Amino acid sequence: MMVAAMDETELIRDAQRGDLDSFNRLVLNYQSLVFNVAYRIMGEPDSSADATQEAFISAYKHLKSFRGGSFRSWLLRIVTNACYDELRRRKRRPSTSLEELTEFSEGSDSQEPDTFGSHVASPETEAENIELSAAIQDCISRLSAEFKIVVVLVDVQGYDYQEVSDVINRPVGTVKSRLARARLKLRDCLQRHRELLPASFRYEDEAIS
Amino acid sequence: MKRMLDLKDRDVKQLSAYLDGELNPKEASRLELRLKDDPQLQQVLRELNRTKQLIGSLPQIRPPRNFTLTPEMVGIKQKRSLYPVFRFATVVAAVAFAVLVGTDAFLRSGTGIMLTADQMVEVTHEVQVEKLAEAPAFEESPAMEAAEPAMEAPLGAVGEEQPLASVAEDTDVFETEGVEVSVTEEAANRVELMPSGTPMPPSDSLTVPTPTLEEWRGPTETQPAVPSPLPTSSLVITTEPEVPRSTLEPIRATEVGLGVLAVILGVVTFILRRRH
Repeated sequence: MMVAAMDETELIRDAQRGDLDSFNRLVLNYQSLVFNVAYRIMGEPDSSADATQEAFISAYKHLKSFRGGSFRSWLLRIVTNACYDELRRRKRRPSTSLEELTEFSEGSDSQEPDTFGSHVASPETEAENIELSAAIQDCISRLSAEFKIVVVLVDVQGYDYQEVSDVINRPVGTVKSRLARARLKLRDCLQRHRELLPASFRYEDEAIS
Repeated sequence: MKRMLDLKDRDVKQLSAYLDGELNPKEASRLELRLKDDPQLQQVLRELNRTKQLIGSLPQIRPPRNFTLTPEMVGIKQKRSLYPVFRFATVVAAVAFAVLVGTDAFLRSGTGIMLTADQMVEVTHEVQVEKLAEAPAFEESPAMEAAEPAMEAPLGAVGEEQPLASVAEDTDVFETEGVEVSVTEEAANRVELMPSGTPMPPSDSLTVPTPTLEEWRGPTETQPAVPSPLPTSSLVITTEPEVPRSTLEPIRATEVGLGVLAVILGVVTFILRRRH
């Protein structure tokens, strides 16, 4: 259920005055986007849910600092910062991170959570899609945080460079550069999962660099 | 070789932005010209495009739960705790007010402060007598002056709350030659207990031996006795209600303060309740 732009402005104004119900209507409107961004950056549902919740709490507490503009960009900046912090914490505890990565790359029990728009597919195709999604997610998880966020925002969520620039508070040129390098890394990573890729998506044998 | 790698890096960036439509028209047309003649650039473009499409094929995940906030999550809980505090304070103030007022009323009734209708009439008569006594043509006799401390001493002994009314209750009212005279029973009894041989000043009515009363009175002031040029035919005892009344002020002030406090706390509690 999308909230119209006019309604959103009023809800933000009411929420800034301390109306929690108004803010919760914004939460319901944006929770899917925020959770998906967090999930693609974190690669794991539980910590993604934690980051999402933290982001909304932080957004409510700092709502008075929102001076207009795109509320979505402002919210995404908060959630990406929350993910950054969590990833930095994980970096200080590398054992946990390595275990998770190993499990993911082996494809043991890694499964995508519930997805929207469940179209009818044979169990075999469904299993292949799940494996492919897990492989892509695995490759994204191997990127460094700054590459991850740009790829998720542009290629997964479909935002333009300017909006991503606003979210990460960096110039558009930085977004362009990070995205190009991230795509090259992902291409190399996905080549290792060649057997999972659909025929039309299989890469040619030549490598670039 | 290094220059080649740099060129490739720059080309990859241009190709990636070209895929997203983020190149300006001039840059885009220049790149398109190069793409026509460079199969390696074409291959990189295809692979970047496939990568972009693969990543874009990731499904949207349904959130496992709602992330709406509760008041506790954002620290609104503290405001709630004020209501029971104010409610308790209101009850305490109201009970303290009731106890103080009740005790005050009880003490006053127990020491004879509460007046009946008849006694109120007597008090009124006394006030009239006082006015007469203060008239220039009517001066007090030495006997009257001596009887005055006898009135004040028992009042002081009873306690703080001994206004005019306490005098009225224990007072015998009698008339002598058309003028009402009031004397406390206690004072009268003390007069009766005086030694029989005590010299008494000349008077037609009740007289009191001055030295004995002065001893009994203690440090209280005595007014100099002025001989009356007119024959004194009665004894008039004046009372001074201001002295005991001033001692009541702290209790009354406390009662009023507690009452106001209870009302204010009640209003604040009511407002908090409404907001809650």
